[in-house]
Amino acid sequence: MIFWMLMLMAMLAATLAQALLPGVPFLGNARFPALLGLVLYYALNHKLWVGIVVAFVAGILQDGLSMVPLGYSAFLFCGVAAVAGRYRWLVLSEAAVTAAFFGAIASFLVSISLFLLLKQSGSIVCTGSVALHRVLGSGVLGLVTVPVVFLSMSYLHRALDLIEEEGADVKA
Amino acid sequence: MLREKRFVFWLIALLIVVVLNLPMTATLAVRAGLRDNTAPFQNGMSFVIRRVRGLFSRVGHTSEMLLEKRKLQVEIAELRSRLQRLEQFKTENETLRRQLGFSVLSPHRLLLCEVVARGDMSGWWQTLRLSKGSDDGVSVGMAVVGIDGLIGRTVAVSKRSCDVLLITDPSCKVACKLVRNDAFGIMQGAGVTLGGRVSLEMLTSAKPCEMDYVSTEYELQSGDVVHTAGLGGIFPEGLPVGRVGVVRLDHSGLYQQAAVIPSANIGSLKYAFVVIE
Repeated sequence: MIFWMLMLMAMLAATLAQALLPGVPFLGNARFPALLGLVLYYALNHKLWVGIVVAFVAGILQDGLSMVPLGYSAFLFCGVAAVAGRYRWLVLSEAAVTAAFFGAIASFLVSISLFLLLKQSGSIVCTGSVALHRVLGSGVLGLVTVPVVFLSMSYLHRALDLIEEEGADVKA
Repeated sequence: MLREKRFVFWLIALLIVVVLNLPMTATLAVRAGLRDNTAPFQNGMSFVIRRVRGLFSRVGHTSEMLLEKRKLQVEIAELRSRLQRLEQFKTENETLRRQLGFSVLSPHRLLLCEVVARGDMSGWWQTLRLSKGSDDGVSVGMAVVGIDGLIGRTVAVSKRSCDVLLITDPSCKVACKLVRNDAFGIMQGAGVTLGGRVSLEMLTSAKPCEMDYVSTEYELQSGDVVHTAGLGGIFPEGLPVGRVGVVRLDHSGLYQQAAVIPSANIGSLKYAFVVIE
């Protein structure tokens, strides 16, 4: 129960952080991918289906609170969670380097995929250079943001004594 | 266990397909629900951020504040006397206007809203979220203005909040004209600059908008005042938009292009008005 409540609170906090923190001008005004960080955390540290459920809800939150057509981010986040969950046995899932690496790659891929989907549907007017700048910027912000999300979530799980549940998840 | 996993995967896959194919009414209902439920949190966080910033700036400038306090006390005394005179003028002015039969009210019905969030969460659009929604009479496609001029138009409305697409966003187009000679053109946002500082209270700085398709018959001058033309059904005629900056011929040579510097201070808005009628 506490596990799910923490997940919900974390999602709310990540949503607010992503909505309120401004874009970084020299990184193409990309936003901090806090929700994506949460998706990666659950995908790499818990059962695959937990990661995918988090990805779906986080995607719906991101789409619902932005002008992105509903379902685009949910689809992309689920893809990221599925790939990260599939290959997590290859990496040390709690290491900061893993978080930074996955964060940068995932943020870059999600951003470029979202741009292509939006461009194809005619929802945005954006030149290629601006888009490239923003996509690369997203990668850099993923590199910085995701380890912070990982550290915070790991700390909270430890503080609330949810480690055993995590261990059981990983084994399963 | 395997069956449970498969069931969840298929369920999520099915949900994604359903969400992607939701009818427009259902999509709008989901969006509206999400916005309404998160707006109070965003409002609260914005309030906390403003207070914390205020607190830090006060602590950091104590000595300067003492000097400034003395200056301000003198200024307050001067301003009070000026205010008294202005109150007299205002009363006199209103009386004269009433006598002449002029209305002192704006020609449009305006709804004051507070800015609760800045910038689209995905980062692909330049938007603002305001604190009023359909419960207050706001609907999609209404013009939004500030004290100094046009800000944008409403693009998504829920019961207690609405999203505004800014005129500086490249997907926002406004039919405009010059006040001096009625030269008509279409103004489009040019996006944001890639420099400048980051601030919690500000949007990133926007580039000047571009006014295209202005006939070469008209002479454009830097500093010309630009107003809305009233075409297109969204922006009423005569709303101040900005001033002309650099003027040049477009690549075809058939029309003129002008940079338009918005008169509204879009970067640091705290309040905005939705034009209801």
